[in-house]
Amino acid sequence: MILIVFAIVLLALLGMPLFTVLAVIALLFFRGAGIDTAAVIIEMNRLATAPMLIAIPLFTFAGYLFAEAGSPRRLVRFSRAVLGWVPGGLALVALVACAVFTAFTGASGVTIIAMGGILMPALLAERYGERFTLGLLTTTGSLGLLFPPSLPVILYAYVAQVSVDKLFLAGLLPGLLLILMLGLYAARAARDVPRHRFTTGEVLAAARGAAWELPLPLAVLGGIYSGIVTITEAAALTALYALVVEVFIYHDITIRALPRIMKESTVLVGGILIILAAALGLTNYLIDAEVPYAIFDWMQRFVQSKLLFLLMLNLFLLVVGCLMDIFSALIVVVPLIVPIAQGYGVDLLHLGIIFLVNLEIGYSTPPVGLNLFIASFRFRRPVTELYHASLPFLLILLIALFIITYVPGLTLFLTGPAAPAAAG
Amino acid sequence: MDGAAPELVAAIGPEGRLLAALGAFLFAPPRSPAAVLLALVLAAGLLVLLRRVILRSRPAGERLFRLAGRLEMGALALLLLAMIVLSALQILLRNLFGIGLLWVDPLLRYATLWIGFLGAAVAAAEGRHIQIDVFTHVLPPGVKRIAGRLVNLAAATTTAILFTAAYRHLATEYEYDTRVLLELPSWLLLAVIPLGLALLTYRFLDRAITLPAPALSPAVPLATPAAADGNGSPAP
Repeated sequence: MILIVFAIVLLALLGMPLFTVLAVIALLFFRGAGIDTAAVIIEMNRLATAPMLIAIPLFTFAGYLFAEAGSPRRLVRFSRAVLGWVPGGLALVALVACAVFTAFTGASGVTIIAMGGILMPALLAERYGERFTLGLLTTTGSLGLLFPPSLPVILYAYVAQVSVDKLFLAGLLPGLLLILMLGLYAARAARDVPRHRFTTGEVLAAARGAAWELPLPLAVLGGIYSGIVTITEAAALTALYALVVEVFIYHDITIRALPRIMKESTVLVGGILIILAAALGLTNYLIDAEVPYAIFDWMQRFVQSKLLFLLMLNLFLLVVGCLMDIFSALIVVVPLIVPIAQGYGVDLLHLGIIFLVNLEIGYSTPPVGLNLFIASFRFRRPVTELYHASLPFLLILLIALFIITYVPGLTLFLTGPAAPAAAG
Repeated sequence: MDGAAPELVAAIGPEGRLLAALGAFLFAPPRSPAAVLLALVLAAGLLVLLRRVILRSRPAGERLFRLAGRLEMGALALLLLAMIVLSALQILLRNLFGIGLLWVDPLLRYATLWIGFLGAAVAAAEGRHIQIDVFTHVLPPGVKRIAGRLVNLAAATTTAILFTAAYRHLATEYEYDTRVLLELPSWLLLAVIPLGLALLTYRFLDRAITLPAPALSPAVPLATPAAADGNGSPAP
């Protein structure tokens, strides 16, 4: 028994695909409980019963289209024309542009790859410090995960069975707080950087250049926040719109390139959904076996207050966040934490935002945060240099995390507490 | 309300000969899990060997596998395109004419399942599955290679076992003749689960034997060279 556990842990740490690790554990549990192993497969069928999951391939495809088209360039030009005159203007541009881009692409690695190449030389040319620039671009890669139509939010809503529209609304103020705090830091760091003049002409020219793309974030954000469209409708319209605009209006993407981009996005989708498929059986087994409740009972002996629980949750998730990517962490950890958090009286919307911000930070946390490696690859710098560079940004994000965690009102101000509603 | 689709279904569908023959071929004599497992392992192993032999021998073989990669890519692209068109059509119909096609929403959900499992198979071919990356950055190259083989072999074993379970599940669905949407049998709509698992087994086995270089990370497709050549399988 111990030998099997040891072997599984070792294989997992050596890089066995996570979904196979989960499947092995599920198979062993089911076997041990004398349940037919076909139960693992029956749980997989459930993927085809959730309307919300349709949004995942559609949004991912739209995000990949934008990443390969000229959208990052146009987005940066426009934000620069609008925000360039503020102190720390270009840094602020980087923050906002990366946030919008991450919201659409979901996986933050894509943001660093697509935006970094444009923003890095621009920031350096304006004599922002090199270390500051590296840190900024590495950590902002995950900013924007809280805004629609970010995939991690959709996944949390699915796994925790909360309303996805409410969760997006709940993430609005915390997301703005993150951008505000990093923006203030950027403005302070950019005291010596020459400012630009604001010219209406450039704003108009940039807006004309991006005329087809600018309305989209506004429409998606507005549509989802206001509840006019459901998340799946927004996904379908975004995918179709992105396809038409990038292929037939901007001509950035040739039709010949389309199948490859489509395949690329399905590879990411497959990677996520198969983990979900494998985890459904496992987490269901654990919940049926009342494992989370047992953990809760055990924890209550040491942790009585909700505040202490939240602190431990933060620490735990920071570790999880730098070991696992955000999708698998959500899929595997959320179902097990939800009953415990409910035991401590934590609101599920609040829990979701804590989860996402925590995992977002974990992405850039040394030694193994994924963003650090992607940035190291993209900017051709040793990872250790990026550890240093991202440190001040991490500190700010951690402060923001603690505010978000211990001031639930920030999250729940717009939504009220989560109704125990079924997922839509 | 459903337009031309029912006629199409009637032609190839439940009472149609094609589907009935396929179902009978796959499930009619009940097969033991051991036989299913053996068949899968043999087929996957044979394919891995064949691929190595063909790829090594001449450029024609390489072209054959590039064609297979294109087919895979084409299937995924078609599925996604169909999803985009159908879901947009549904919104259009609902908002302009106040009607909706009943079969579109479930079909979209099954398309997501298909994209998920086929996409996962391609992810395995390109070594882009999500994994816990703790040791891989610090291991010496020799140990890393051995670990890579071991890990892929373990993954292949897992997906092979899952395949037998999936086959068994589908055989039950066939036996009870469950119909889901448009009178389509559920085993057909769910067939992608064993199909995807079989492809995954083949890919993991292939990687355990040939062991190509690992991709940087699952999240950064734009950066991996494998993404650019349009061919699902990196040549050894």
